[in-house]
Amino acid sequence: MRSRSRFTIALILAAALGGWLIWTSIGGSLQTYTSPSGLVKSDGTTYRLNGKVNAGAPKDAAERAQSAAGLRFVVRDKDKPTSTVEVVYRGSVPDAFADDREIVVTGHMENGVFMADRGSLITLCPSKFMQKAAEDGKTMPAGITGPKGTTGT
Amino acid sequence: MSLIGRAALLLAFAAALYAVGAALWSRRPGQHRFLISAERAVFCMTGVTTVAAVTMWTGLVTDRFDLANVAGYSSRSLGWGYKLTAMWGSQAGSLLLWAWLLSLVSSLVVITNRRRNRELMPIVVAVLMGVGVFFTSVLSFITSPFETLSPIPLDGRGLNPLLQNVYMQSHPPLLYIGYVGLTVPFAFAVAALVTRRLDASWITSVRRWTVLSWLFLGMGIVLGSRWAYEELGWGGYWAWDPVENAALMPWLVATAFLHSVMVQERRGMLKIWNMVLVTLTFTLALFGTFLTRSGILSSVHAFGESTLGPYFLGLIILVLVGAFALLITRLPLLRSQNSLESYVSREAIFLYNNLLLVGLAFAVFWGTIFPVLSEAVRGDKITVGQGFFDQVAAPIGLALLFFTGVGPLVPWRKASRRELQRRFGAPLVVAVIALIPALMIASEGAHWWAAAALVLAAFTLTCIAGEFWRGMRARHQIGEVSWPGAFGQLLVRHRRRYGGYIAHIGLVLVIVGIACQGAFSSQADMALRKGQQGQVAGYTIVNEGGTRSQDDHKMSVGVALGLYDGTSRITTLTPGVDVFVPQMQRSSEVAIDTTPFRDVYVVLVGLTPDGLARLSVFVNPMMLWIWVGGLIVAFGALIAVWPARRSRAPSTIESGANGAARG
Repeated sequence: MRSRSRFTIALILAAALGGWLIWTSIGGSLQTYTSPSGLVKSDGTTYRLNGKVNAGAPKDAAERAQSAAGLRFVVRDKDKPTSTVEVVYRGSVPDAFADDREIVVTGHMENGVFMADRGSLITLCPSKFMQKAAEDGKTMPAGITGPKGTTGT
Repeated sequence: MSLIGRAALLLAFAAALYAVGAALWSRRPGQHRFLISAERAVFCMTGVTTVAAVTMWTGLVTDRFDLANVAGYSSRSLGWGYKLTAMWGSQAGSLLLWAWLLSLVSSLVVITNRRRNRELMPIVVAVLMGVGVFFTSVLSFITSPFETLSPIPLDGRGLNPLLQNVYMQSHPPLLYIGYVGLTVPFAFAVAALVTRRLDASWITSVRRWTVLSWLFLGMGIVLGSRWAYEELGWGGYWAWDPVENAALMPWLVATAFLHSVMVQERRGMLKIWNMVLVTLTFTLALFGTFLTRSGILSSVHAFGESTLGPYFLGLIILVLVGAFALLITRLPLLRSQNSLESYVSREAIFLYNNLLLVGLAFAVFWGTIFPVLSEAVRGDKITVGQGFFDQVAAPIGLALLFFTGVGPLVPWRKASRRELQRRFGAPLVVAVIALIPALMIASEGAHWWAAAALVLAAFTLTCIAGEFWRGMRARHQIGEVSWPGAFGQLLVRHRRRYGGYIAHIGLVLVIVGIACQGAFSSQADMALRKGQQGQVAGYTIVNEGGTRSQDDHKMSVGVALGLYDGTSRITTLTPGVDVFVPQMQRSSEVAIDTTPFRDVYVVLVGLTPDGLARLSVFVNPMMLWIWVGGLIVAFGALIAVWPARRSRAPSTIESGANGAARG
């Protein structure tokens, strides 16, 4: 090491390179996390849609999601139940998928329908698990060991 | 029963509080005997926390459904093994596990330091028990694992079927041992700062603790991935979920710490950096718990609505501010004894490796908390897709792989050109040879990252093999021992060094597995009636008929599939789906056929009454090596920390550190 300044310059360069890497990588992968009422743009904006599965979702969801037509179900806003959107999805369906289950799915709007990315469906367990469990008898663990949902490949 | 548990936790809280006070008081002139008293308080705290843990376990095994945590996470029909592990199904139970492990670790630290590090011990005990005060107070006053229910339910709600898996039994405690173990290096670092004993002795005292905690954390991550792979049925094992990231970040920084302490031991450099790393590692371990408990991030993991977030955040801020304030007041004492002489030297490469690891940890941190930041700054929640993590991790991972090979071959201080040529000749030749097939594979689907990973893996493995070869040849020639004998001697006499190399080999294999699975896996959905067949990646799958069964616990469907490679039958795969009756909870049972070169992974999506089976089939190349590599890393790390025989001279660093673990 001949001088301290050279070392400092090297460090700054390394930091700049790392910053550039993070900056460019993050640019291409941003997704707006929103609920059905927040889906406004159909210009190809990628959304991560969060909401609850409306009653009447197909019982054979996993099979349908493999068919050419895809799985169609309606997601409603958690806070404003009247705000809903229809989702078309293909790919693997988590075991926990069912009516009233909270889900997150990635995709974009097309002609008023939410076209989900393949394999992007994730189910969340009810966050207020104790009350929820008491209400509908469903069991969800609430530990650090909680189950991972399934995510796409 | 609830009373016993609550009382034990209150006593543990009191004991921990007393231990902190007595330990700090013992630093006053003439009050030294209070240190003994503080250490006894640590044992006492361990005793009562054990009582609390055993009480919880007794409640689980004997179906005491008056306890909310038993009713919520266990049931009569659950096997006793799962009853025991249901303890960490609940939030309070997992915190109890944490407190209990912390008390055990603290007692071990006290026992092993009865005659050593006496001037550090007051602060070490105070820090460990300070953390103990935090956990026992949370358990006593905020979220008790011994809450009672009334009326008492007849049966519990049972453990989520997803968690009824051997990897889920073992992975949380391993992670916790890792997290808790990382408290020890932090405690010693703080003690060194407070007492101004800032030579490398605190580092040698905790080296084993650091390596073992790192090892447990790593094993926890690997087993958690294995669980996701086997249980979740999407063919993958890692999704950059906030909770996965929470375990990965402290592991990355701890890896950096493991390497940079060698620079301090050897050259007296990077002292401030090491203090920063050890503090960051510990805070990230706490941050992981904060992330999962606060609900600030939506994770696919299920976590109870929790009020614990602010408490953990408070502790994190306290630790960070306290440690850095202390560090700043001691800066003049932490001056380097040497300076970097060359950019091509062992210490320089350790520095690069550190920057890369911490940089990667920072990128993961940034991507994980980005939604929170964007919501705070702009009002809308912008999340970061998996693509970000993959894009950042790939180049950094490759650079790390390169330095894994280069680092051990470059001498300390300064490398001569001739020495470098001699050592890197063979690895470079191997890398060039590997380049040809790698380029051929890569050009087909533009899998440049995977090709680069394979070439670098070949390079790095040759580098490590060269180190073994040189070491064995020297022993073979001088000592006139056989080649296998020379190999054994290397491992026995230079455990730390060659154990480290073995861990490196394991890491290279893990990266090969990750790269191949990421780039070359193939997937196909198929719908097959009995007798029909489908193709994926050169394999043929034939539906040989479905089965159905039902009992009062669950409904099961399954399908027998013949797996063929061309015309030769490999095996029968029987994926299935269980539906557990009370909650109609689905649980897929995937079928996996593993060879060293690939996994064929089949999920039964559904089976219609007329016998149509819908399948998702994945072919994941080199998947086995992720798990085998993980085991090899663990094996190498164990060799590196295995205590040497006691008869050796106590003056060397090696046995000095052995003493650290054995007392």
